[in-house]
Amino acid sequence: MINVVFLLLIFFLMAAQIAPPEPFTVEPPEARAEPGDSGPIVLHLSADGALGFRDVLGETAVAAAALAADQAPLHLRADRAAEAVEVARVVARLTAAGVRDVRLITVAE
Amino acid sequence: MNNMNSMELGPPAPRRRPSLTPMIDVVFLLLVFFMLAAKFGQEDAIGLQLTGSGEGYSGPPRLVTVAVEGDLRLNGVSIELGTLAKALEPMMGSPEDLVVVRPQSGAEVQAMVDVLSTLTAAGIARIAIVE
Repeated sequence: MINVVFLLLIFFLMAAQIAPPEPFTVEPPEARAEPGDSGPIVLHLSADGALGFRDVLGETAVAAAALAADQAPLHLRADRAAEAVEVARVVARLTAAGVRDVRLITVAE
Repeated sequence: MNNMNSMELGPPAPRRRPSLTPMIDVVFLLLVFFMLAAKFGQEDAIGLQLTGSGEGYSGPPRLVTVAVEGDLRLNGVSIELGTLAKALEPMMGSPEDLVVVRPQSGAEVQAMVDVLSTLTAAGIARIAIVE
């Protein structure tokens, strides 16, 4: 039994990625897209249009995420029920802040 | 005399096996922690072309408008999602040509992502989202 428990422990150790908790729950839209791991920089957009990056909430989250991303890819995790215009607005602001690579997170159908 | 050189300690004590219980406790604790902390579910990502970073736009206008209730318009003409890729085909000089997706106020992210994944599946590499 100890062997099995150790095996499970090792499995979860390997499978776990230590990530900062989400500022709020977001249900990404469904799509058939290429698999791509979300990196360490994830900007969240909730269904009611609230923005969150790590522990920064509100409009300043865009600037904070852009600062953290620099040249690295930035993943935008938008809720499927959010306004698409909000996504377009956030992407435009990220571009203006100097982010080069923005990716939209989806889940498999 | 002989006693001074070799101390008699009696028969050696039998080795006691260490108790496993505390270790199992710790291992279980770690196991429960990682089970609860782990995040499951594969997530994918769609790359977005950022306006202003591209080499510019060439060819005829390719503007896909995502309206409310899943309505789609290609250059202002109403179109179905299933025929969008085919309608775009003659407008594309190469797969590297930019397609502009513009969501209208009220359209949901899911509707826009449906369009994005359709375009990506059709081999269109560069998609920009504008306000």
